[in-house]
Amino acid sequence: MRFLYAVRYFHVVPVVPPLFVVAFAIAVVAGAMRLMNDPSGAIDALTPVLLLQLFVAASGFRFAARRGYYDLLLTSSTPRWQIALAHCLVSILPGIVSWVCIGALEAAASRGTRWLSIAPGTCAACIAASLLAWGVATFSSRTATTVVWLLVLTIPSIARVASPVQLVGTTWSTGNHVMLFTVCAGALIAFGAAMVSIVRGSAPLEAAQ
Amino acid sequence: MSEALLSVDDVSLVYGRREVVYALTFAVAPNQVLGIIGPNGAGKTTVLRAIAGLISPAEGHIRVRGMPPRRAVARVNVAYFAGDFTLPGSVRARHWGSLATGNPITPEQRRIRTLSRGTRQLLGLRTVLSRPHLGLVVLDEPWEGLDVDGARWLSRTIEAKRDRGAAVVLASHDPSELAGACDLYLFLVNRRGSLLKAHELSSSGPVTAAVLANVLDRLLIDASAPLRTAS
Repeated sequence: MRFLYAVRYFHVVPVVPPLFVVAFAIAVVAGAMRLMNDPSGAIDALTPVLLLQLFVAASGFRFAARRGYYDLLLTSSTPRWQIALAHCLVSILPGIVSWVCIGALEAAASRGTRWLSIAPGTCAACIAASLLAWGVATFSSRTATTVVWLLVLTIPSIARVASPVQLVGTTWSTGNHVMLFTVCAGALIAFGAAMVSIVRGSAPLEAAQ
Repeated sequence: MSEALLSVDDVSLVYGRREVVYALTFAVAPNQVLGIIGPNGAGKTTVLRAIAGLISPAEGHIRVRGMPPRRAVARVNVAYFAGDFTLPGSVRARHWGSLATGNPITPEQRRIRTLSRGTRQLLGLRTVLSRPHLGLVVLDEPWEGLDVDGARWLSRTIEAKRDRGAAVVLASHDPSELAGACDLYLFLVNRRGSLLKAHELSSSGPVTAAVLANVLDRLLIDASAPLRTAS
């Protein structure tokens, strides 16, 4: 019940701006059109969803907490770890739902013969990108995290080893295992650090002092 | 005096790298109201956030019913409100008002940012104070922006919560807001706290704003006095 209260709180106090949800809807519609024309185009359909997720999941818990937006929740009986988990879930949900939609569309368009949307690399990319984006943004604002992602995605030497987008569609046999490990480990570390930070950290008010 | 519901023992608080409050000690029992008075920037908000469990003290201990505040909020219903600027502007008033209990406290459909300052303040106060069976009420500058009716409602509600057993902590930079409303007064000046009981400030009747202002002025003058050199 307390977890559901936290989820409801983050539904009322929006973690993901409505504009981003609209962007996901557009990406899914565009992906559907691509898959209808070419059932093997799942990677092209998923890439915009993954890119969006990198920015949308970066919802910035601390930034909002320091403005006092979460005071009501943080002084309720909901444990901090449940608050952190609910915030993460609500932040990454639009991207995960879009990913599942693309996967279902791919399966329908290819009549169950193609499953690139749930290839190990794709799963790792979607989950890792979600957790990595949410975790990193916990310590900063959405804008600051966006700058970091732009650097990661556009500097080739960094993108080669750390960009989750490169993992989309790869399988165990074709995949870059080093990158798979790097991205997953980075995501888990960022997620864990963010959880600890929310559970144990302070939320001083920006306007105070 | 019954056993303290809130005890603050030798607490120092830092904001960034700056020490805001040093060696603060006080206790508040159920059915008691503590007023924290100090100039702007004295650390009132930081003290209140530490009491609510949103900030950890750098030194010392804060206990609510014998537990650290973060653990206590699971057992003791706490009403904490820091001001209308902490309400997210994009949320509709009706939805925000339903967050404390699940029942909407207002039919107002407008977004919070479109409300007047006083209405926002009232919405925030009514939301946190609608929590049932409050054990601890912590309000930062609660009268700020309220009209006469709103201020009267707030005073009556605070009295009602206190009479039902809550310990109440209020903070204000304006002595006239807290005059006569508190059992204890904590003056925060120059990182130090001076605790005075209401009857120590005024043996004949309620504490007036003038008495509180005098004490505050005296403490401010003492704090700003130049150090004397030994002759």
